[in-house]
Amino acid sequence: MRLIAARTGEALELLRQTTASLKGADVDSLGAAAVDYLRMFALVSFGWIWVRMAQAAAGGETPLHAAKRDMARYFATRMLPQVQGLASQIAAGPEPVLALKVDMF
Amino acid sequence: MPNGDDSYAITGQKIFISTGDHDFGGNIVHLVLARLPDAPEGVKGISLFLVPKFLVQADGALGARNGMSVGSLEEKMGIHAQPTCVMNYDDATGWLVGEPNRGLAAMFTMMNAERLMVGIQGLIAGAAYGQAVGYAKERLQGRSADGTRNPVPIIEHADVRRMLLNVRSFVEAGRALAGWVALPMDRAHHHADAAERAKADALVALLTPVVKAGFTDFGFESAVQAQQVFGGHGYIREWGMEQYVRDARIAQIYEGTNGVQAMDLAGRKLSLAGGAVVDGFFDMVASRTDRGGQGGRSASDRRADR
Repeated sequence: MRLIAARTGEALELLRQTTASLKGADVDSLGAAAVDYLRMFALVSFGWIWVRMAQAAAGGETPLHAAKRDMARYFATRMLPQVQGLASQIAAGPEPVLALKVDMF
Repeated sequence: MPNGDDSYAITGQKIFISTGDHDFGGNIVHLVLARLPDAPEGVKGISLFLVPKFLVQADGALGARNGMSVGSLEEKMGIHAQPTCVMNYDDATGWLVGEPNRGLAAMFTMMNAERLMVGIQGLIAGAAYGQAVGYAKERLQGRSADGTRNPVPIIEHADVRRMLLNVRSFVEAGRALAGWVALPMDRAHHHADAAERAKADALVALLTPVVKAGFTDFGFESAVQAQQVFGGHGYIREWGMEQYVRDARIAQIYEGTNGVQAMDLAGRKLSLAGGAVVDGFFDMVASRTDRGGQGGRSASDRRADR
């Protein structure tokens, strides 16, 4: 439980930092970042709801309770870490996206 | 063009109209964006009109057929039960909805609710998951991890588990999050306090692109992974898995492509109330994660989360 909450808290912190970096960003920066950013936002939102589900399942002894705890741990450890890669991609800024000239496509 | 009463004659064409017409009977009411004769240029000159398939008589009965028709039907990758129409309007009678030249604002009221509903379509992944689990428990292929049994159901293989769990961890989170977002949706309409309604509406506005694009992107990926579990049979129409992939694909595109949703989130929704709406959402998430995931929430915590 602590692991799931901690991982989600770390992911939230990355999302906060990335959100701050996009404040007042120009059109190209937003355009290059937007899809990766939305995926980060979705992953953190899913992580949050998994924390809630794990909390609701905490201490429960039925197979369903155990399955919910296992699923929450799966999400937090095997899917949520995608936010790290996405944050890194966004932090690279729009220049690599715009560098290739149109006639080289 | 104005007809001289309170109606207008509308002429033009639009494409990608889902179920622009059908044979189930009754009337079909179209919402059409069009320009008035004196309209300013650009988006500031767009008005919204209501254009029915049948004109309605004073007693409420369906009367004459209106001047609109289906020009052609699109042949699509999926959702084949949905007739996707080119609609032609030839002096069709229509009535203004809302104020002249304020059509886009009026249309977005409908669009925003639609975007949330399209996000739910990403949860088709749940059906794909069910089929994939059924197959994975029965299909025998490959050796057990300890080497003692051969063949074993493919659900014993870590890679197959991984695909199934990717799908399920999205589906269960998506269902829970959808149910949770439905609360501020209701509150935005029905709460007695205007400030509470506005606050709920702002939260829904923030999360709408996340639900629409997040659920449908993960939904499509899930359909592909569920298909992958079937190996070669996943490519064969009779097994049903390729249909999930073809049908899930459109939800990433219509009602505003996921790229458009992302620009809406990053370019518009993050600055709602000067950033206060997104900060409020992040604070709400943090209130769960900061306490190390301890259970036993107080009543006020539960209210704060809603």
